[in-house]
Amino acid sequence: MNLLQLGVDGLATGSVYMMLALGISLVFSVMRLVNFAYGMIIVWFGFMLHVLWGTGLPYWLCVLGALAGTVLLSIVLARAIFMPFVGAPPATLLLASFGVAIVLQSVAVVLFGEPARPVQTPQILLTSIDTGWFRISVLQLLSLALGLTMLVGLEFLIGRTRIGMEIRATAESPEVARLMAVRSDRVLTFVFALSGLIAGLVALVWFAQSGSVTARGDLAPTLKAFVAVVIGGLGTIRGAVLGGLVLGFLETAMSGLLVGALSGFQQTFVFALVILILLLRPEGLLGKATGGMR
Amino acid sequence: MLELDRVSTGYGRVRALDTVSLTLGAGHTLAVLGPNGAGKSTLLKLVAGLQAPWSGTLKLDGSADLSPLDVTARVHRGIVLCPEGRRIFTTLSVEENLCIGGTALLARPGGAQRMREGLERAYSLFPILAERRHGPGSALSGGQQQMLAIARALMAEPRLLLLDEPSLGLSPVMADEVYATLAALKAEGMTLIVVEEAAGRPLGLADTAMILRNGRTVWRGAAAAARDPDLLQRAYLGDHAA
Amino acid sequence: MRRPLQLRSDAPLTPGGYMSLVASGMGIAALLALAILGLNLATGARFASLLTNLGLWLIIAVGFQVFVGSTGTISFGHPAFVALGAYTGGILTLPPAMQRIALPDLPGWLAGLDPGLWPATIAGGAVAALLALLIGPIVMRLTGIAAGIMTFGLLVIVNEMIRAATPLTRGNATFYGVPRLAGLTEVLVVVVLVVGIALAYKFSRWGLRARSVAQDPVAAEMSGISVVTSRLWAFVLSAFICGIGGALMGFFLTAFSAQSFYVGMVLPMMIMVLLGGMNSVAGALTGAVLLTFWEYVMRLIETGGMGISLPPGLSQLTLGAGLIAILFFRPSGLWGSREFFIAPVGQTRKGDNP
Repeated sequence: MNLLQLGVDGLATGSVYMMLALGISLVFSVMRLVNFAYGMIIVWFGFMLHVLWGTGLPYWLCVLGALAGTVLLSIVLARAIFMPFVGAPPATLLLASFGVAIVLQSVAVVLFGEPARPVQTPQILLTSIDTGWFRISVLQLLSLALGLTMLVGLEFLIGRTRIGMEIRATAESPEVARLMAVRSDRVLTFVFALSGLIAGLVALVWFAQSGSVTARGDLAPTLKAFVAVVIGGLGTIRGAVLGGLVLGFLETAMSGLLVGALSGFQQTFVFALVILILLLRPEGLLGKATGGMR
Repeated sequence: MLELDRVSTGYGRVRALDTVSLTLGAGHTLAVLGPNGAGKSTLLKLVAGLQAPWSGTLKLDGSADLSPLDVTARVHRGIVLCPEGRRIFTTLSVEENLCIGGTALLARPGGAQRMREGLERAYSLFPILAERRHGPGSALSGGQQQMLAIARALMAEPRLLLLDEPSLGLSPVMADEVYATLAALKAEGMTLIVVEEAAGRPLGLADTAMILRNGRTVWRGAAAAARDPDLLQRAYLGDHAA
Repeated sequence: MRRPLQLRSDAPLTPGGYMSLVASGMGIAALLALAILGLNLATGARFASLLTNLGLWLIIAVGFQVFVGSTGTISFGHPAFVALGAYTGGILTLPPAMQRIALPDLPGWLAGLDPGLWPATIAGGAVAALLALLIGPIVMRLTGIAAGIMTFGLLVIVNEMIRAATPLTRGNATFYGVPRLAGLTEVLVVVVLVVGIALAYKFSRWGLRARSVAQDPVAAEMSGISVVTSRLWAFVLSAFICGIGGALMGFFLTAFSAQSFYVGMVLPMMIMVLLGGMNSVAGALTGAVLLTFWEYVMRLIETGGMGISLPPGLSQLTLGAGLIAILFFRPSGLWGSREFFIAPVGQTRKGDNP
């Protein structure tokens, strides 16, 4: 296999996984919640885009609408369900988010049924460019650009702004932040909104790739995000970047290497590697977060 | 300024404070003393709003009932707690710690301006913090962290400052420095409640003192009168020990 | 006050107390089993399938509880053990003629064994326990979130392997032709036995160690208890019971696929254990009974059997919402960590009552 091609494909896939990991990690950093419902939020973006497209609006307006809907969904979930659980053990939070995922999924089943629904994508995204050394699709370019923008934007937001400072303070010690009149409910709402926005942006790329959405399609994105954060370490930007990229390259390499009978074992190999990493470094490659994605 | 009337509270079923009363006038300093587990920190948490009373009343400025106000609302009323063990944000820079401390200002008119003034004031009070302003909180020494904790609490422009063991774990020189700062704040007219296990320094600072043991007030009076070693020993160890 | 039947919480036990606790738990399970059998007779076996299903869930819930209750760790991976039990039992007991049709590529040494119901059931449990024993030393090092994610990984891996091991499992296709070796009676006998095993473990030295590790790993480690080892035995025993439940489920369903034992199975397991109280075997039994009937009623409604028709997906919705509600309003479940206990006359002590 062409190594350069592998590098490009791995980077593009890794960029998507990195974004998935960022959305999960961000919420974890402020409330120790590993959000099982994250994949379902992504799935709901797909359904919203599907419905909006049906109204005949221009594509970019549909995307904006679905993004707004995703952010709203994330905020509603946070305020109605997750925030009342603040202070509960992480395992309880994880289970509660599992319950939320089930609820979101069954509502999707009730409204849209089990069969896949098409998610429209402009043809331009699916064309690919052959540079002579490697091929890259417009969608891959978009993934890379989105990932890079998100990374720079988050670094700035977390590191340089007032709300970022409050996020870091809340992540390190919610109790002391409260003593300093930091409104933790506002910080958490903001973080969930941000995580929802990230979910929406990843979903855009995700469904452009597959072209359709099903109510039970949340497992794949949730799994990728979990594996990426476990590899890199939860609650840090660096961890999400590293975990996402490692997973992206690993999968790209696997799909090249595992042929024939072995091709069914891709997840097995990935998880075997994750187990190995956890065995050597139980907190992930980059260790535990000390505060606010830093 | 602050008035507690027969307040009791605790954790789960364990009573930590039993019918404690106190009055504190504006500009006065109260030292709360007593052995480990006497309920001193609980008393501060109660005033700050981290702990709800089981019974009894808390009043601010003679009339306002404190009970319905949460921590944030009490900070806005000028009650600020400087917690035990300093608890500065180690992942934030020194200046960011101060800015978080001034969160309450942002809700008021001219908040940004007052935040800048607050920072200047903090740096003139503690020049070492100005030197380290962009460094992480984790790089400070214990004494510097305590100064940052006090400076951070001051950012909220408190009228009543609650200090939980401000000299804990500090060298004698550092502890003296911290108390010199507190004396300066008192001279400016700030009302203080200082909780300590060791009686010496707080009694030098305070106007009045109270001694707690097992959640009850065992002695209350002028700070000068509490300097009697016999009294302290009886109060800390119980009457039968004297 | 002396009551013949009480809820009994964890307490240091005398040897006699230990035996009577296990025996009374089995007694309660036997009463439950008899009640189910009686109900089956009274209804002319019209609900035999529902009741057998209930019995199978009782076994699986108890198996899951053994791990969750004694380690305080949640697991998303236990459907994998149920799956291993079902496939192992199925492969071993498939009639030779059927084996040639359904599994033409089955390795020779596995073909035509036909050991019968009980050995095949035990084998199902053993294979599940073996997997737990192999991966346990790794997974049991982790706690909390990391453990949750890793057990989820375990589920994905096992599912993928089952789907890839076509010669043994028919891959993505339905595994069919398993003889119906188990019915209501066989399942209920196993329920009683499994309850006895779970209680015997819970109050044994090993069970107490595992629970002390769950409460305070550092203190337990300092008093010489190996964190990993004590949790490992809970994991292995739990896998064994779930494997047995899976084997019996295979013998009852006679046809199943890898998808039957995937993420969808986690939710009912989790609710059963949490609803009754994750530290209680009695809680697992209660949870399994309540949930099985709830799902039955919901399915009836969804298929229009109650005169009103609701869209499919609604029963799942109630389960998800129920899980959140339990976690929020009653995180310790109905019984907390208490067990049913029939107090022998004269042995009731002060403090036995919650």
